[in-house]
Amino acid sequence: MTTVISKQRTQDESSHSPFVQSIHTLSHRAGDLPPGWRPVLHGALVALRAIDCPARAHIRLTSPRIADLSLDVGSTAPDASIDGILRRVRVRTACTCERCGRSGTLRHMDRKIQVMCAECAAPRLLQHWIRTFMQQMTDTVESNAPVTYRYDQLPFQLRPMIPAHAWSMTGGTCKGAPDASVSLFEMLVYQRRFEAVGDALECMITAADLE
Amino acid sequence: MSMDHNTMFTELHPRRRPGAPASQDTVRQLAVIRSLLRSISPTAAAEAPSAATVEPAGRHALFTLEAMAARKTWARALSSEARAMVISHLNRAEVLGPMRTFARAPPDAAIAGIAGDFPHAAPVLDWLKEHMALARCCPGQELSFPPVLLNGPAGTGKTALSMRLAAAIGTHHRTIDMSTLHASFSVVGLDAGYSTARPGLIWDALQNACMSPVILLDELDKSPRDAREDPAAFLYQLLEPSSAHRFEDAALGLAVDASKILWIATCNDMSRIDPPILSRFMAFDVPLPDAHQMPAVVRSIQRELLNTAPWANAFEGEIPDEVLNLFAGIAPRLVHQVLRGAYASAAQAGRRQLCAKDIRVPPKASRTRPIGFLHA
Repeated sequence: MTTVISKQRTQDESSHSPFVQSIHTLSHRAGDLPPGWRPVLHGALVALRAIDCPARAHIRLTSPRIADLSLDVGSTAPDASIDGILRRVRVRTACTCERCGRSGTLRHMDRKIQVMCAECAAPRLLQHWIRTFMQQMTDTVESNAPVTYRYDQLPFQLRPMIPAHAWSMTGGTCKGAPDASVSLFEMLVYQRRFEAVGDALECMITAADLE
Repeated sequence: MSMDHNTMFTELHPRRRPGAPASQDTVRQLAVIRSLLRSISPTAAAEAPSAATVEPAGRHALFTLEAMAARKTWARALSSEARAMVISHLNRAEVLGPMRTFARAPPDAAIAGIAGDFPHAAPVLDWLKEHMALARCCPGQELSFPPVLLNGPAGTGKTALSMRLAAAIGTHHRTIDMSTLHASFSVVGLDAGYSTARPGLIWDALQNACMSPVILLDELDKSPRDAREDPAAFLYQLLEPSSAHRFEDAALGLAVDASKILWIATCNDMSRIDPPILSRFMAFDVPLPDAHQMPAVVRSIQRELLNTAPWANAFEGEIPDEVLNLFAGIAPRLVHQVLRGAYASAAQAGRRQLCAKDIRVPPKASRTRPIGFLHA
């Protein structure tokens, strides 16, 4: 029974117009796209299927590609409806998290720019800042110069890792106090904590990326 | 201030206008990060007040940044030599930062080891064990105890005991020989107005990650005093926690918290110590070990001798009981000399083990009667 149905489907697909065939091809290639963008593409393919007509039978859709930090799908001939649907894919993917499909914004991740929501970006940004900050501390500690880290000039992702009393005892209050600061020596005390959290995030992010 | 560092973060991470509310995105990211940190380690999310209270090691401010800034401003008006000296010391303290740790209570096993070697000092060791148990009741196991005075005849091992205690506590320690201290400026600093001005031993001892150094006051009763100067006068302030809380080194003038210093003093005659200073100490007698305690003392001194002597491998480690009994009544300080002489005698006789005839106790030196009028 299953064999009969699949044969029938293959015959149906082969009898479809180039437009519908390109829609099928696109749906098969959606698996290569970032998981958060797949629902956007699927929605567009449903809309494209709905406007299938003999007048558009000759139009082919190009393979999806990531350009200008959004998903770009082109067509072989100009058509207002198709172009509108494809433009909407571009616009929606530009503000949709690549990982989970929630609303997101452009973010400077480690060495690249990606569209991500706050929930997905937070661990990656924290990992990025931990790496940057540890490297910066290692460079500074050799200079033997008095260094203090001001609360408002420290990336906000790192602030939860420094105990409240470390801020409050050095001239300011923990929250919303631009004059609060922590010395380099104090920061070095928390170096092991930074390393431990950085390692845990590495495992967590690698596992999430493999999913 | 590291301008490079701050500039780097400012460029990549534009600063929010002071007072402006955090964006929704920032709030969501922080919520995710706090949740992540809590899942990674319960103590990692430290900004939350509940997490801050479970910080394992307590940290305390040695000085305030405001006071540091004020002293640096003051130092800039000094002469060039003094200015360079003061600013360099203040800079060093600033690099270390104001936040320091406390000494932690050592494990009971460490004190038990000392008690085995110093059985005649059981009261002070028991008292210290109680304070260590008290320290373990607080999250950071922050050790503090009142100044301790070990009083006893010469050669009973008071100085050795205090050194062992300092080593067991695990923080750095400094020794002040009160018998040779003729002026207090080596301890509390010399005023920056002098050309040879420099900070004192207390300031140096506090320039460490731990603000509870152990300071040993050796021979406290032999402090040379005259009508004009009392070198031990600094103890009035430093042994009183309320005044030690704002101790100022004479050279630098920066108020630091010296109330966490752990003091251990030794003396032979408590009556020669000023009553106000004596009242600040918890005094314990360290008598000569009795006949039952002596073997343990001899064994500990022998162990120490054989650990350091280059000829140790030529002899067997154990001392026979009949030889140990011959040490009864000898002061522990003399035991070291007697043991060394005994090993020399055994080496001369070509033996690897000590025997009774090797033990030769030197006769006590006779004290001549003092010249002068006899008091009634």
